[in-house]
Amino acid sequence: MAVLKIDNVSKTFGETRVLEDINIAMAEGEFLILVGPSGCGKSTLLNMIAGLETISSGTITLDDTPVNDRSPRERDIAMVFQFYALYPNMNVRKNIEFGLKMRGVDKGERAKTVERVAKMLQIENLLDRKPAQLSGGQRQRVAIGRALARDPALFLFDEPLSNLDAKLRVEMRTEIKQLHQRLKTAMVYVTHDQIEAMTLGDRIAVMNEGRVQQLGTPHEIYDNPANRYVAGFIGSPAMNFIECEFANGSVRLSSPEASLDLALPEATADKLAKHGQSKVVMGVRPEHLAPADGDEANALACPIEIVEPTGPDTYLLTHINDIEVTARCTPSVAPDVGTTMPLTFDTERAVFFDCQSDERIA
Amino acid sequence: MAESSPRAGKIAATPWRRRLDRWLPKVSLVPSGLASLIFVYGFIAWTIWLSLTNSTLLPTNNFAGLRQYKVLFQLDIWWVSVANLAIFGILYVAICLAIGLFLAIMLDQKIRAEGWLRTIYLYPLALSLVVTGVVWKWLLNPSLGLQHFVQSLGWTGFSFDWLINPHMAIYTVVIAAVWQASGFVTALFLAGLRGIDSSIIKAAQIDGASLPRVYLSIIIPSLRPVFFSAIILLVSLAIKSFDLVIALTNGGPGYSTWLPAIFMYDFGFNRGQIGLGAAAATLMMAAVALAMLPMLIAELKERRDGRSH
Amino acid sequence: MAGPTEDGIQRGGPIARLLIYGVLVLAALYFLMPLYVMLITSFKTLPQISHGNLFSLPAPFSTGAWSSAWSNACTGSDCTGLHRYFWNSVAFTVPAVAFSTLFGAINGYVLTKWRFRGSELVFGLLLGGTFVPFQMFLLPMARVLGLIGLDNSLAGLTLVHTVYGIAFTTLFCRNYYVTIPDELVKAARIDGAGFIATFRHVILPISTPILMVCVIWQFTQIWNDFLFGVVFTSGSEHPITVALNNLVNTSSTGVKRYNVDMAGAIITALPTLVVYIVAGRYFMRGLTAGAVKG
Repeated sequence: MAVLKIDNVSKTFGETRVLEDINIAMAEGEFLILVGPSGCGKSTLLNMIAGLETISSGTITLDDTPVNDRSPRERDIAMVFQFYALYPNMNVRKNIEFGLKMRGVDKGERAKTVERVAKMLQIENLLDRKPAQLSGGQRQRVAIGRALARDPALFLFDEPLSNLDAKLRVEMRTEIKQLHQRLKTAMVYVTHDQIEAMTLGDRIAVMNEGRVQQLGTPHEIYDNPANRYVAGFIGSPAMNFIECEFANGSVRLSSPEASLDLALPEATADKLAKHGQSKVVMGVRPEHLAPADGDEANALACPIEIVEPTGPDTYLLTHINDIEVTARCTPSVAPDVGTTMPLTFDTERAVFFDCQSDERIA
Repeated sequence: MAESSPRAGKIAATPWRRRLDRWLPKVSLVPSGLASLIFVYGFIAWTIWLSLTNSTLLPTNNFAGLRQYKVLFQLDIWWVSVANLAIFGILYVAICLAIGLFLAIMLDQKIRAEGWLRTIYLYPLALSLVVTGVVWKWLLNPSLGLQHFVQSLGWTGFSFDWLINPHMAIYTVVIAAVWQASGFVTALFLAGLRGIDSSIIKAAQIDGASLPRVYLSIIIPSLRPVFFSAIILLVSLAIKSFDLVIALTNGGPGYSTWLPAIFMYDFGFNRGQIGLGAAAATLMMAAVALAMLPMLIAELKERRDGRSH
Repeated sequence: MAGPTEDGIQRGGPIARLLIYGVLVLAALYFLMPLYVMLITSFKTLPQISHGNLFSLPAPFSTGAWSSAWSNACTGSDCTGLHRYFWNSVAFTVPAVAFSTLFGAINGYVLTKWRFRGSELVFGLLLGGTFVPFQMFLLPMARVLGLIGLDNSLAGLTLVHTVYGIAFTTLFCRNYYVTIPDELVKAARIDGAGFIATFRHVILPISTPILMVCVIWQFTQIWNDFLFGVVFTSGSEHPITVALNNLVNTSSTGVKRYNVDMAGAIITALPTLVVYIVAGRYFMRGLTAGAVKG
């Protein structure tokens, strides 16, 4: 049974199409991430699921019931907003129980629910405070509490952490993940932050320009990006995209100091050969570009231009085929700036894209 | 399956609520929209129509073309009213702006009791113009007011009898009106001054500009929008001026302090010349519209620029 | 020597400061002078007025002018003082302020949080009305009030002031509600609140500042109005502003009683003056908000 099904959904504002032909089905208990740059339509889609935005075409189904015409009240959902949206005139207790009150739940029941939710989120001591007396983190916790109180079939989160400072964001991220593991209720979570997307999601829908570019598990998205957009959006530092010539089962790579015909695995080479174009884009993640470890047969000597230590890793910047390329290595093997270092390529993990369409070839 | 779901009850559809929420917002705007259509736009059309009829004591629907306007333009008393409005309007606006800007700049010098002073400068605006008129009528009373006071100090030749002097009476209206509104203009300018980034002033001073120089070439030019809205406000107040003149001079001596608003009232309601009154009202509206035009154009331009960003 | 102050801006030296303070105090005296004269004159007797001067204090204080202004001064042909007109003004000002504020709040709520196709048009219509001189409405309104039987009545004045006040209250409330995040209304809708419940439980409780602005602005405008009062009412139905004018300008009985005039003027001014002193900051906010479009 699908908690949420989005079938061929589109949205137009006047002349402009903000969402095009969205298809997503969510299983019970799933944590789904909608991620993409601002303006990609992810928040609009979330508002449409909530019933705050009308649907131009297509169907949204909640618990096997089409809800296109239903108001938010009639959908079994709760939502957490980016700017908390706590009612400033009500104290925390009243904020949490407002949804129940609007649904006619009696007083005793409401008090019990508030108690349960407050305990779960450890905000019992804040119940009599007004939102203005709370810190950002506390406010977001209350906002989550307000959603929890309703015990809905589906939780919606609209960039709930983007207003918090970096440290708090990481803490709250963990808390949301724990919450999900405890409640096992389905959640749709909108973010523009790819790290949030990777750490929280069971599945991720990467969106851009009103379309779902790829829908998959974090691993699928990371290891097998459907196109160059997804490959570039997920991962930090971003994947290296090296334009190169493909011929005879290998691609030609040149640093300012040397050249190499990099042999590709047979399966990859076959696909590229079938594609039939010599000019392709090779995508290599920084961690798949490493200093050669003795065997330098398949390595390219590169002059290291910049060294960026981050603590656990050190990033090396150089140029291959006149494109700036980042390699990741452990700090112990990091060379000095200006030295030349042979780099090897993990050809098994490398991906290839069409030069024009940016679609994945191999 | 929906019917076996324990939550099925929670999401029961209530179409009547949905319909209510769709219609209530529209319905609740209806009274105001309707009132505006009838009492503002309908009445504007009606008044314009009346000005094109030969209505006298009672409104009629006999179309008379522009005859009322022709009659109006031949009446000395109308032109006296218009000339008075010109004198009054120009002086009122100019003096209010001068006093307002001057006091605002003074107040903006980190003054100690600023709040108190502002409260004092602004209170006249809370008064009815009738009260203002009554008070100034007393102050300007030649036999017992300011003239009498100065004479009693020993300057026996002092003369300040504008209130009963047909050539000068209109200036007493200016005096009272300026007293009422200049504190408000001060507050407007002060708000504008507070909106200016003080780092600009600091930067100019570091560049060697003196404080008066900074005011003349940086601060005052950047108050353009305040000048704009203050002028529009004052001009439309001037065109609508009625109560103050009635209370202060009652239009006199003779017709010497008539304004279009008094003309409109007197002809429309006291002399049974509805057509003429309507024509005068229509011309007043045209004058306000003319005064608004620059602002409307500026606003439209700003909106267009804002959209292209 | 000029020195930088805490904000880093160079200002004048002590002599310049003294000059500035001198100018500001002088200006304050200029604004206060009529109020002072009004007050002391109202406590003088007529002989004191004709023998003393404009600024001399009353000796002794006499409250005769006040009681006369309140209860037996002549306003035209009628000699019952201002008290009945004072209550007239209260009687139409209070409901007109309440109605126009209520409508303004609802309109502002719809125009910002429940926009629909055409709602901006309604706002444009309302806004356009604020520019038109009231003289454009007098002749038709007199006719309409007669037709619906509300001519020369306080109910008629209530209607007129409500109708022409809504545009301002709507403008105030709309500009205030625009600053309230839409997310708040979305959250309320998710929580199951509809149009009315959201207004009642979420919007109204945080509207106190703007409702104060509306109430004070409307109260001042309506209480101080003279034009509608003089055109649409006569005799015993006059508002106090018209009665004051009649008291001062049409008394035919020989001696001018300036002390009674001043007492009457203060009685007329007192309610708005008190409101101004008590809630001045809301008054100022309304003025600047109204000034932008008024």
